[in-house]
Amino acid sequence: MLAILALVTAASLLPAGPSPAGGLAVSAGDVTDRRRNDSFFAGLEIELKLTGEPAAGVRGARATVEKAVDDTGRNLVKENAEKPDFAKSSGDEAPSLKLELRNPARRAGRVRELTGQVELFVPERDPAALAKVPRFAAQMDRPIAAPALKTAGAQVTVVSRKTYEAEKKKDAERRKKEAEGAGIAGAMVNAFAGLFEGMFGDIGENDVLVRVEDKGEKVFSVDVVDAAGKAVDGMGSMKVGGFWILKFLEPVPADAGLRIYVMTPKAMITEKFALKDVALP
Amino acid sequence: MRGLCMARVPRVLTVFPSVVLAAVLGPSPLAAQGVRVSAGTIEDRRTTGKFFAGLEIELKLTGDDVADAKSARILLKKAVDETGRDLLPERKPDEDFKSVGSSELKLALKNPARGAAAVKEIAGEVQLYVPTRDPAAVVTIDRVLTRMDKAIESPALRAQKITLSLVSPKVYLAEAKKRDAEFDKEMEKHKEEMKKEAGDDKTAEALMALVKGFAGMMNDVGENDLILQIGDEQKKILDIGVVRANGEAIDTSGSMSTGSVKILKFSQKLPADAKLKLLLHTRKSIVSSPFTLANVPLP
Repeated sequence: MLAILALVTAASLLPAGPSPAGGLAVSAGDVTDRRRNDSFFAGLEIELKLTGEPAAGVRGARATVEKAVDDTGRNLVKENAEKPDFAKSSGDEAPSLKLELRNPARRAGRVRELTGQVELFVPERDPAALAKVPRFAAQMDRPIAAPALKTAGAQVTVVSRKTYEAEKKKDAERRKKEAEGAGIAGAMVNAFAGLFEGMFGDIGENDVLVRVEDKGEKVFSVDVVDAAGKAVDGMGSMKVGGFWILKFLEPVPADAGLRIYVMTPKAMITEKFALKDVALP
Repeated sequence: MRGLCMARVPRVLTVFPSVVLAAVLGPSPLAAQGVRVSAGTIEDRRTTGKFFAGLEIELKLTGDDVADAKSARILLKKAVDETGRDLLPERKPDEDFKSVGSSELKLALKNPARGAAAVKEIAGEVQLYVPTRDPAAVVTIDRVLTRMDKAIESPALRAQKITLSLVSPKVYLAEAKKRDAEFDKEMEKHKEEMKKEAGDDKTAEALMALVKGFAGMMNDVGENDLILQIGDEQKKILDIGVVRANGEAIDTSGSMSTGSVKILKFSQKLPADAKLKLLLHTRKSIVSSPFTLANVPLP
């Protein structure tokens, strides 16, 4: 079990606190207190920096807050906050994480206590966290058979345009029916959903369409790779309903494969953190 | 009239008698009547990071002269929080005219003290641009399309020391390479300054690539676009548009400016009798009123 605690005094001024050998250190980075009189986008954002041996090889991470109190005693934890998505690493460094909190009191000078946990996805720790799918074009519209996906209870399928359009149509009809049952409010929700789908759901001729059924949210990423296993550079990806649209300007190679990372229990590290007296700007 | 001594009056406004106009602007603008200034959205963005810290206060204007105004600007003189901290920015603030009624009319100040609960005083002058106050403030150039690739002769523009010529897309694109080379030279000159400003080479390079990308957009001109070469050292031009022979405005699909060049983009061919309409800042078209906000609560 890796070391857990990183206590940092005056976290924004001092380096990360001592971490036991081989352990993870969590320290506060930039602190931004956005205060508005109309409350739109107001809040306190604390960047967390991850260092130490476990931070190497991290492909993704997220942080959740358990307790956050300023020095006036004000509770800074947002009510009904959803669990954040995993932030992805760019390059070899661990991603910097951001905690979203409520604004502290104006007269507060510090966040007295901040505790929570970080979850790290380190696929190198478990060979089963990586599923390689050669020549995905040959498996179009058929669920990919990979032990990692099966264990995670997830299903990933590269779909053809025809299947995508049919599913989209079916989904639109389902939403329309639901909206009819929900009166005017439902109709408005449906209209907005249609608008957003129109804006973002359009697919380019070179895009790769992937249906991801993953109730446990274990599928971390799906990338297109060439025959040598190198990632094919694209224009990013977006999620529309249960579909992941991987965008490409050029056609992907005919023999391209997929690289799917799955967050298996062995590939995950969960660490508690505790910061004290984080100075407020 | 509410005085500054009033304690904690939320978003109080005080319009001073217009005779107290600042003399620093040369001949004083005319006095505006009944202009009221109040604070709208306030954002105090405080960060330990390098960028985007500051206090932003949106200003709302009301009053008879405001209804006729096309645009407005704020000349700030004093801003201090209740701890006595001076909030005036170190750099000269943006004093361009902004559309009245938009949310663009904002003060960009330094962060107040963390413990300050209110801005004690903000004082300055609001200037309104009311072109209907002065016939010389509106200049139209008839049949503008017939004046391609030559200087536009206009006594009204000459009187304001403005030069103007219309450049055809063909001529403009032919000079694109020369312009790009000049731009690269200019960027090279400011490279070190950018590095210092950005904090590291990587960020500076990314910023410069971004600037170059935007500059490159200036070469993206269509056959219907109007390309204007403008000489206006005194910055008298507030707006340029195109109207039909009957004065009805023709909507652009956007505009771009860099240095002395302004491009008005049109998705359709302009009518042969289209006119260019310029709104100019003249002494008589500007009306002014000092203002003071006291005890503006901070979020």
